[in-house]
Amino acid sequence: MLPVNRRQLFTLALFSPFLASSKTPKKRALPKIGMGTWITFNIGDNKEAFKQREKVLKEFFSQGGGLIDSSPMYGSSEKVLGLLLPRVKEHQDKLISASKVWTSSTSMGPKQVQNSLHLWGLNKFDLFQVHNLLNWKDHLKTLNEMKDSGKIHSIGITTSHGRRHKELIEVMRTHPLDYIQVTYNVLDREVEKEILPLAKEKGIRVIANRPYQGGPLIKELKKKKLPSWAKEMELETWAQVLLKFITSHPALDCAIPATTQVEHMRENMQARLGKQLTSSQREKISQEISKLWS
Amino acid sequence: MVLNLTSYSPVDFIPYTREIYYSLLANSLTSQFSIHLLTVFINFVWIWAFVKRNLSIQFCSLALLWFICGYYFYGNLYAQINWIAPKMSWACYIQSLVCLAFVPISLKFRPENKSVLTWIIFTVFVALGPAAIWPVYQVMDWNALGFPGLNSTTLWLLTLSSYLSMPSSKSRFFAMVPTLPLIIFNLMRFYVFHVS
Repeated sequence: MLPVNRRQLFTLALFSPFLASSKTPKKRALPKIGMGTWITFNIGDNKEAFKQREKVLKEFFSQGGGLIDSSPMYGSSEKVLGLLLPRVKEHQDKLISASKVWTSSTSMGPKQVQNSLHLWGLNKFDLFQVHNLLNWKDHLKTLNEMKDSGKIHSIGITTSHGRRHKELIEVMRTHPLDYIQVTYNVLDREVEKEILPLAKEKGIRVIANRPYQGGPLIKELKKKKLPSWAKEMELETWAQVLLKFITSHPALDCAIPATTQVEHMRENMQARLGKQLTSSQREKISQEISKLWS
Repeated sequence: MVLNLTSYSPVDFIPYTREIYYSLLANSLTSQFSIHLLTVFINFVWIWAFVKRNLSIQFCSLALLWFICGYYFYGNLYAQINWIAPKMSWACYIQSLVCLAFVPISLKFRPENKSVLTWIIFTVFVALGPAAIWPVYQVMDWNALGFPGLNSTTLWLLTLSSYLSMPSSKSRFFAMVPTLPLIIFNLMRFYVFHVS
């Protein structure tokens, strides 16, 4: 017999979700299309490019964007974001900030997080990731400590170009993660075999980088007319075709295309809308684009 | 920051567009004109020393140019847009010290015969370098014209000319090892901008 009465049991049951949530923060709603900043926001002191990026950022938020992903590896991107965010104050509550720790030095990890906070002008990051699995064992420990202290809401780990997948799978199996970021697009579907099912099983959110294979894929497709099969699926642009393919995967939470053009941002964000594609539609897209690409 | 280099491809080392790179050079010309003026002056000193076959002044000029290249271009300007730039500046500092070490060595030496190769390199650089290189790079703005002290590739050519003027040039050539990675990097950038 438990040394508690029914009233005490009822109270415990009523309040237990609130007790649990102090250690496991509630997951924030994540729009399906985010924004990457690799190359696109690395503009140094270029004033013309700065004005253009401000327009791109405003378009991103006004079209319902949320997650912005950056890293110390991306040159001046974090600094530029930090200068631009105050200019879009009206949208700042929509921001889901995501950056990365990228140093082989364990002791430099917390300093990099602090530096990123300073550059972005934030008190807290929504997501902080270990970039390219660099020194992941020590950095995951650091990030978890910072999560407990409230500087970071969620932690994750990233890779790209299909590198070090075996190591990523090992980390996913053995360490609690909130997010992973991997390369996934219509031509690179490697992660479907093991990583995406594992992420789904573990409840890890997945962010897809390189949705356009770094750019060449969409540049090449845009030279061709949108086929009738795309229109039948209610897809109006190549951007929608490529992004909907990604975000319709049941294990995929967000894709992060990068762009310097307002018009392209508008096209990217349109992929948030409309129905999710079925698996047969996704297969059709994959087959057709493989034919066009080869 | 030590890297697992197998985790990276050439494009990871060039995290910017061609337009941003050239605008960085163009902006620096207008905002830091005195540094550009200084490097042009030192270039002329090197040319004068080359013509007069004065190796010690050549190496003195080169030491200054490599230092400016490392501190101003890689350490400050280029570091704005590339994470690897501060590491490259150390290669320039080491090359500067190597050139400085050659100043006393070359004091008593006066090249008797100019090697054919030295003159070919010198001619290409002075007479044809900018005209040959910039159309290839499809420079957006002539303000972005690079020259020794800012551009490590043309500075490397200058340094090579001086080393080839020394006796036992083959062994002296290894004194250029510190900045060989920079040249490889510049070739990689050319590949990323123009080929891939």
